[in-house]
Parts: sequence; structure tokens; C-alpha cells
Amino acid sequence: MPAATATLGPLCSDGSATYTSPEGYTITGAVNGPIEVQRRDELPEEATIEVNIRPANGVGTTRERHLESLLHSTLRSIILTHTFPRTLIQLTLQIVSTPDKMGYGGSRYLNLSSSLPLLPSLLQTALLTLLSGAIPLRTTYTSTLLAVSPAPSPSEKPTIHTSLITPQCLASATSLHVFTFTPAGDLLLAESEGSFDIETWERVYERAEAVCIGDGEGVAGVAGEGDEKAGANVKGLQGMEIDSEEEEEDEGGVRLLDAGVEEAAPAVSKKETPQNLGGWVKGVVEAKVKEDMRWKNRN
Amino acid sequence: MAATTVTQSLTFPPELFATLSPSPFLLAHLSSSSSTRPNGRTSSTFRKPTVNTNSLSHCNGSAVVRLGNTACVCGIRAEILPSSDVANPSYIPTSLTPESPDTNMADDDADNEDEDIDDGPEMASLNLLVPNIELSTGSSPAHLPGNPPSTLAQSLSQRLLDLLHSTRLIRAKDLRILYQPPLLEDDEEPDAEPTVEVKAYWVLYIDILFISLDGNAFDAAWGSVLAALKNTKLPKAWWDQDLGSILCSDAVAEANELTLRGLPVAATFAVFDTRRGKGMKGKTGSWVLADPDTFEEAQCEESVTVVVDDGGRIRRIEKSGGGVVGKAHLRDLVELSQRRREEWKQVLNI
Repeated sequence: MPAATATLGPLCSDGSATYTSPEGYTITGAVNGPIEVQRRDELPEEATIEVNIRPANGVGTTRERHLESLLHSTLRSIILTHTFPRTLIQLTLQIVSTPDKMGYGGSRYLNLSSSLPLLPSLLQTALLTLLSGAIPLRTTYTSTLLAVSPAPSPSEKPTIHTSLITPQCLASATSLHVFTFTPAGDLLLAESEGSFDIETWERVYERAEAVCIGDGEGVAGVAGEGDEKAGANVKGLQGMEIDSEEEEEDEGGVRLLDAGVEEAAPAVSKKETPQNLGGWVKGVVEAKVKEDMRWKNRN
Repeated sequence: MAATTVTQSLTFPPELFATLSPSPFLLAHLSSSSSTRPNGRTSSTFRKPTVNTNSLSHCNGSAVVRLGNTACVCGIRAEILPSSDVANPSYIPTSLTPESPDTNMADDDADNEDEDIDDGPEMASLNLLVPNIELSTGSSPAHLPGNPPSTLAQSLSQRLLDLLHSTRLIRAKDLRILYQPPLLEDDEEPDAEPTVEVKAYWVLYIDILFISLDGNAFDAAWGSVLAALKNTKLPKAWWDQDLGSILCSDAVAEANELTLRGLPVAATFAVFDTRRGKGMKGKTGSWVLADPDTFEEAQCEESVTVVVDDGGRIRRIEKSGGGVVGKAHLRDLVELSQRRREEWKQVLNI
């Protein structure tokens, strides 16, 4: 099963990240900010946030405008915009590639043309980009996609798929759900479509919570794979004789970044990162910090 | 002397208070003992919708919906899309059988659901539904006439389109214009099933113009779409083999109505959170406000839209902008939305 992978800082902008979801969406994000803002967009007491989404092919349509407005409202609630009044934080997300759906019947299934499967990848890329750009955040978040397919028999409950939603899985799903949680367990964003009842929604909520911020029991799928990857990164760096204690002495912008992550996940102990998406994000950022700080050990 | 000056400087009319510091103004209302909003409603009260249908004479169906000071007109025009003009004809069904008379009944949902379920991709890939929302009519000071469609207008149009498709509200069957070739006597295979061709489709252009916008554009727009679709009449159309074109009958008695699948109703809530507003240090609390007006929308960052259908089915949940509404809250909101659906049902005469 493919894992989610991420690279921080591939571009020259203030912050950038490339994220590949297990489903196969690759998105590159870039953030610039705080920069000067046009007069008509200027807000006297907070920073203006601008989100641009560029599709993999063609120009942006109303669909991208809608996704932009979802990202805008989500980011507005986590970026400390009051820190930079009368400035602009500009985030651009370029969808680089999308999974091949034509092989599974293309838009023969309504769910395959839904914009929900893309949303978690956009949100994750946006977060990693902001972390890379050291934009002060109130908290972090993690986002996941879940699909519900009909119960195998009438006596059972509908099946919930959490990890690696394949196009086949999408096609047969009766409802799709995107959940975004803060590390404190607040539901930041929820988008559900299809046909379902409140009991199913609550079950999906619990599963999503476990994937995003839970202790990782029974969700070895996406999160576990991602963690392995992040762990491998760290291991590779340890080969370069980097003492992990060294990192705590980091100064300046990096500490801000690191502190932000720490503050966001107070329950997460440094030695024992749990097997969830939050732990995966933390792993990615820590690996990057170690890589950037290797000059400190050069003798 | 000094004391009287202080008391005088703290007294000013409510309108001024609302303009100067809107968030504390809203908080003062909500945290009072009666907990009414500035507009006089309680936090779970919706504005009563009024609906006027078929007031536009040039549309196939139309509705004017009013929610308090939010008013919009929805007009539905049907145009013919010949199958020969479709760029990707692979989505047009080829194996149709002639309709038996009983499939036209409106209450055959349960029996027909399985064969109907596949028409979603057909509708979506052929773009048979084209909703568009126009806010730039001077509907509110934020939407001046002549401006290009704002992000809000584009986002609303997209949400309507997504909802129309994901609820599978309209049946592709109602939009197809069929042609059954006559069976020739010297046919080589006399036992062959009579086949039916899709010669054209009706494309529904759903245009929504906001006359006045005072918050909660989505509920008003969706309500007007429902009301207009309920009253849409498509002329009887057929393929004329001799002329090689589609002909329409102008007899109203022959026109067909659309049979909608269910009645999904949208209910929008805004969340007022004191942790986010300006000038509210030290205050705590959050309120979920049903059917927010413009003043409340400006003070609320988080919003929730729930679309419910009959039998406790939820068709869509959209929530973004904050972390107040969680699992427990949402159950209440779904219940409120169910009650709201009954209200709409009465207004729409269903």
C-alpha cells in the first residue's frame, strides 16, 4: 500500500511543501507572507488570507472557488491573523497530479467526480506549507477522507473505509465524508455527502477522530504507513550523527516552528509519537528541522 | 459633575452600539436572560419562508422565495440538447426499453430506485443542470450591480450544483427526449426487442437572482430551486423522422412535470464564538444561531449547513470555519433541520 509522503521547502517562496496522498493526489503549495496587501483587500485589524487553487489541467472553475473558500475559512480560524494587521498571507496550491480514475470507469460513477476526495490532500498540503513558512498558527489540524459502503447484510452496519480510499471503493460508496480535527479534538471542518443517517455519521466521526488524533489502535492504514516513512527519514539523518538532544537547542525561527507544533499537541510526548496523522505531520516537520540544522554539527 | 459626564458618555442608542462594536452588541443580546438575538428571534428560530410560484411567464418554472429580508427569484428554462451535439456520447444510454405506463407514477420510488440510481453520471457528465446564482444585483451593499460574480456567488453556485447531483433530485428519465423507430414488417428479426433511442435532452438552466440579501443565501436559493422545480413543466417533445428535428407541442395539457426524488431541505446555522470576536476579552460562550442574517453572519466565522430528507436521512453536511460544533451539537442541529423541513414542506404544499 502506498504511503503519504511530504517534502518541505521544495520551492524558494517563504514556505512550501509537496504532499502526495496515499490515494495518489500530489499537490505543491507555496505561501508568501506577511506581504503587502492591495488597498481594497486590506483589513485594519488582521491579515488578509488569500488562497489560490490551480487544478491539474485547465483553469480554475467554480469548483476551485468553492474549495478555496473552504480552505480560507479553515485557515482563517487557525492562523494568528491578528499578529499581522494590514498584510497579506498568500497561499497557492497547485494540483500536480490526480489518481487515474479513467481506468475505473471515469465519471461513470458520481462519487468519482466529487470534489471531496481532493479536500483532505489540499488541507494537509496547506498545513505543511504554513508550517514550512513559519506562519504563526493557533493550532494545527489533520484531515482525512472516509467512505461508507452499504452493509454486506441487512443485519450489519454499513462498512466504513478509512485508509486508502481506492476509486473502486469510491464508486461503490453511499456516502463520502471529510473530517478535519485539531489536536485538541475540535472538529474544524466536516463535509459529508451522499445518503446516511446520524448514527452512521457519528460512527464515521469516531473512526475519523481515531485516524487523525487517536492513539492509532486499529488504524494502521494511512497513518501507520506515513509514520514509517517519517521514521525512515529520521533514521537516515541519524546516520549522519545527529544527536537528538541537539535539536532542543535550536534558536530563532526554527524554534518558533517547533514550539508551534509542540504547543499544538501538548499530549504528544516527544519520544513516543502516536500512530496517527498528527504524529505523521510532526514526524515530517521534525525530519525537516533536523536536516536544516545539520550544519550545527559540522566540524 | 465628573460622574454624570461618565454616565452620559456610556449611553447611546442601540443602532450606534451595533455599528461601533457589533460583536459585543450581539453578545449582550445573547447573554441576556431572555437570550434573544438583535432581530428578535431565539437562537433556534428560523425565518418563515414565503413562496410564490410561476410568476415569470417566459420560464418553464419559477419561484420567488422570501426569508425575512432575503428574497430571491429562481427561473428555470429548459433548452434542447440534441444527442448529435454531445461531445462524449458514451454516457448516453443505448439499451433503453419502451416505457411501460406504470413507471410514470410518482410513488414508485422504492421499486424504481435501483434502475434509477445510475442516472447521476449521465446528468453530471452531460451537464444537464446548470445552476447559476447572481448576487451582483445590488442585493446588498457588499454586492454592487455590474461587478463580476464574487467568490461567494461562485461558491454558492457550485454548492447548488453539487447538491443537485449528490441528492439525485432530478431524474434523467424526465429529461430524455426519446424516439422509437417504427417496426417494419419486412424486418429480418421480427422478434427483436423494440429499441428506443435518446434523440435529445432537456437541459435545465437554473438561474437564481437575489433581489435582496440579508444573510443565509444558500437556504433561500435552494428553497427557490425546489419550489421552481416542483412547478416546472416541460413541453411534450418528440423526434420527427421526416423533418429530422425535434418538435414541441404547445398544448399545456400535454406538458410533463418533473418527478423529484424526495425533498431535501437545507438548514444553515452560524456559530457565534466569543473567543473569535473583537473586544470580548474574558468572555466565554458560544451560540448556534439558526438562519443567520447579514449582521450575524459578519460576526460568525463558523457555519454549518445540514441537508435532510425524509426518514431521518441526511443528504449533506457542510461545516467549516471553527471548532465549536462537534458530535453532540450536530445531532441537535439535524433534529432542528428535520423540523425545518416540515416547515418548508407546508410552504411548498407537498
